Amino acid sequence: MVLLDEYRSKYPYSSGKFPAPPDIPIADPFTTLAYAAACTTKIRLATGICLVPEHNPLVLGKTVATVDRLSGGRFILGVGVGWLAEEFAALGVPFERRGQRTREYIEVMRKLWTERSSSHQGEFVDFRNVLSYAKPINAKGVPVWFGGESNPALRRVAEYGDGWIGFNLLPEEAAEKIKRIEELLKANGRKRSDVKLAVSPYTKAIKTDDLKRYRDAGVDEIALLASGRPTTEHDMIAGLEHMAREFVEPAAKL
Amino acid sequence: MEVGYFAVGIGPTADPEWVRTVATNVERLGFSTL
Repeated sequence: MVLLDEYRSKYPYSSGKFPAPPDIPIADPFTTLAYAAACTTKIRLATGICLVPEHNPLVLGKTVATVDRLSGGRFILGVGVGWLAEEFAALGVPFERRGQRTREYIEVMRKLWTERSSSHQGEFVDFRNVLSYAKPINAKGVPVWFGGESNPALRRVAEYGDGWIGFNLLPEEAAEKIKRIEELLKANGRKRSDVKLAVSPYTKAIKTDDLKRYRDAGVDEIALLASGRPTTEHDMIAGLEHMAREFVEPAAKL
Repeated sequence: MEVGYFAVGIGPTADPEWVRTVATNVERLGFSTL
């Protein structure tokens, strides 16, 4: 939501500091993806990621449902619990118990997405007989995919997630995490097919041959980050076309 | 296996022209998710 010039919290990836200047533009993902939805017709659209405990769940649930409808049911809610304590302080949201807050907020949103009238009495949210329309396109609601590689993050996937987004993982690192997710799914009485597993190499360079290794690790989808910083539209499109030749086309044959 | 594209809306790609360019082209090229 916001960054700061100075902070003591440790960014979970790279060197412990957010790998960009604090004044870098980071657009709101929901309005950006609503705009992207209007430019496209079939590609899925996902937040990567939304820090759910920073939001009011009734407002967020309405926003998510709206973007899902505007996109024709192409929306995935990618979720994180946050890492920057100073950001939570600025927003007036307790950093402590943010995992528990996230779980309850997801429960609330799923009620709002699927029930005619909803009530909830919990640790963080309390309301009765609330109607939230319009609903998402899919009657089961919007898929919720959790980001993160810690044990609590993997438990969230296995216990109540529809998918996982692993960051900064090479194939063998992804395999280790997926094995753990599969163990946790079984322990929770769920099947492997109940979740989709996506991995981003993030800043780690990969080659076409790595696709098979990701597939063998159990990865359903890899999420690629643009390399370099193109300064022209021509360079941007050329970079995307290169990525398609190197990864999209070979992956489709696996 | 599917391939998605990560991180539109950050830095230069936060501008509307870039969002449109990235979105339309990743869809055209067969990426699964933006």
